[in-house]
Amino acid sequence: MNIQSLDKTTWDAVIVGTGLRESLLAAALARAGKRVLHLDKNPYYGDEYAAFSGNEFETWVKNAQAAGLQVVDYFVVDQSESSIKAKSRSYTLNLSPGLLYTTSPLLSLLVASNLNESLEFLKVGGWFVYNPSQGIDGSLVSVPNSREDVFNDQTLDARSKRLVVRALKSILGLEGSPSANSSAHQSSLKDYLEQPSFRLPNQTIAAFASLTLRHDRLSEIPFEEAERDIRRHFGSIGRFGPGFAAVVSRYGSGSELVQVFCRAAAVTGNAIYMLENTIISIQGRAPRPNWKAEEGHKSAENTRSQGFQLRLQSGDLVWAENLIATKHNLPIDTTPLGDLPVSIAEDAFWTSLYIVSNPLRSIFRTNEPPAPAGVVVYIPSGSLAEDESRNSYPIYICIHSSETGECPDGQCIMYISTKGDERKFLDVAAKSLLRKMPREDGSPSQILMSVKFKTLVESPLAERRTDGLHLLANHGPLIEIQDEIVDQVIDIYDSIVGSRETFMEKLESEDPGDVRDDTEISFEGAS
Amino acid sequence: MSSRKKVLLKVIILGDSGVGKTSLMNQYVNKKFSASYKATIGADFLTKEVLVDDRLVTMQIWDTAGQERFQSLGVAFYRGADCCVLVYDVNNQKSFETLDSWRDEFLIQASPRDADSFPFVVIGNKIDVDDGKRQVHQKRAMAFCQGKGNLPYFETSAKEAINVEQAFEVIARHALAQEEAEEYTGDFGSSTIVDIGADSENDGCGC
Repeated sequence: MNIQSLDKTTWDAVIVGTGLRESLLAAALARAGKRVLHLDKNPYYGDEYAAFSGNEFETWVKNAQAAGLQVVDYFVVDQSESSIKAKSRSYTLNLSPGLLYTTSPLLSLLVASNLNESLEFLKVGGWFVYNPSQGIDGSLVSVPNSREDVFNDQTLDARSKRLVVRALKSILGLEGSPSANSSAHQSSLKDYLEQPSFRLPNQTIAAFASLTLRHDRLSEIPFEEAERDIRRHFGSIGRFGPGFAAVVSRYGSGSELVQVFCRAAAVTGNAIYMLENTIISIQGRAPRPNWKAEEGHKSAENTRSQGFQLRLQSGDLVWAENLIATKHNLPIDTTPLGDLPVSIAEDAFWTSLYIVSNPLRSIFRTNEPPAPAGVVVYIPSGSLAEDESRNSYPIYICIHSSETGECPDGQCIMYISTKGDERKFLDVAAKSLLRKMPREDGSPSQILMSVKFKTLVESPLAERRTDGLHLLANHGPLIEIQDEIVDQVIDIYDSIVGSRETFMEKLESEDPGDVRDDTEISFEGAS
Repeated sequence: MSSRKKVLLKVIILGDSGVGKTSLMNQYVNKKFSASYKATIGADFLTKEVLVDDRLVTMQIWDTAGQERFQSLGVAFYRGADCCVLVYDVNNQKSFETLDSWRDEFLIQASPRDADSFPFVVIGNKIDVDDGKRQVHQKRAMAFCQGKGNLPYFETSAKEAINVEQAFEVIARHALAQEEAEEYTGDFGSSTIVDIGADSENDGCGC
């Protein structure tokens, strides 16, 4: 595609926004031979999965505040502002921690499509429950990863150990006494874990809850969903080595994955990338125009004759058979959206990022070396107090060490998130945990910078579809990169390509040069 | 530290669209040239094993995949590069003039530890085209390279396979030197990268 100008070009798909779903879809469509124009209004990749240097992050904060779309609460210690700027490139500040379970379909997909080599995954281990209301000692308790961990746990007596193992087996379905489980499927996680026959210590109940990565109260989590989460956690342990269930990519899973997928789309030669460009107006049900045919573009027979005529910010006019975006990436006055069923429920969350002046080495430990690069800390609801109120939702703190490349040596990054409008507990959680962990020279750990922002998440993560328009649900990554993302993208791919099996297939020819020339191909050269 | 461990060098090729980045890479790795213009198509990167002073190294050569066309290269593309090749077309004045901004962009995005010593190699491609069409004189290009700290300069034809091998030999040598220098100031220490391509047989859950 020797395109110098986009004006009067036609596309199988125009995708707006370079979030994870959009980027994966672009890669899959381009690999399937579809011609894709992929735009992002921002000068960077990633959308809600973006990552920034120190300087870029400040710009992001200011823009987000000015746009007023997200409530952003920014704090930086005066004397550290200049040092963050001076070391701007030593920071890769992500909008979310991007935890991936080792069983995540995204990881299998990366391997199956030969894209894993450009990423470096690090282990996330050390799963803790932090409950400051339980007194200073033993308030940071490690969540057992296995039956051995339970037996080695110094904080449990022998009787409790037996009860914990019994409950664990029951949840994992290893010793399913049907009588106990049949009613459980109607109940909440709270009802299930607090059932009298289990007699579980509170700390164990919190430990099980922490494995769900859900910000809801225990009474709001349907047991069968929690059961799936907990089984996934244990099922993920050991897949890529002993003792850990999850990984993060160096420099941030979301932003790195996005760039890998966009590049994978670009290398097929079927996708064009343009940052800082977006759609400013849409005309739906526009007949396929008779614009110049592009070289090498085979027009399939089963294509629709109607699509979208799109005016871009760059001034170009393009036509697309399919249009894929979240609503916030489309112009507000969008006539074709009128046909769609209206939105689904939206939940609000507060997410945040803290730069901490302490590597917190003591928390980056697991039974099996090497040390993890990420840990997860769960704070049960009701265990933090501030102004005579308590946190009504649980809080998660994901801590990333400098090994992730997200901050310089001697520091760490904390991502803290909670549901609802309990923003104040983010700081309370951060400060409380840091008080427990002074620096190695005994001086207090300091928060050098923090930013908190509101994230709205539509659920379920369904897409709304009509006549070639695929409107993605508003989606804020919280802790993990959700498995559902892949399913959703495959659904859209299927509706455009008409096949699920060909999704992200390995390319038949890895030879970049020449499809016309049939002379022998040598990859390693003749050294 | 084992000095005989496998060495992987990341080389990235920058320059305006159409200067022949992919052709150079293809000529070097696959010994092939395709006359019809086609934006970068195919693999994420090409690899070639080469001997540099008796050391066997694997060069991973990345080109821009067309994402340079609208200035849409992400930071991940630049990351971890051991050598950056700046390519222009000797018959295209503008492609020469943008070399400096490509170099700046690289330094910003890749932010190598020591920007002054980071290896760049400059290539003026398409010297097979008629002399009459040439727009950038060799002297001018060499002056540019000198001004940037004596960057190695090659004039090549990917089409006629002129000087391509020689240019990449120097690229490999510089990339290896850079990789070795980085090794001792190493960024990351104790962590071990999780190989997601290798499922462990070990079932860690002892339940």
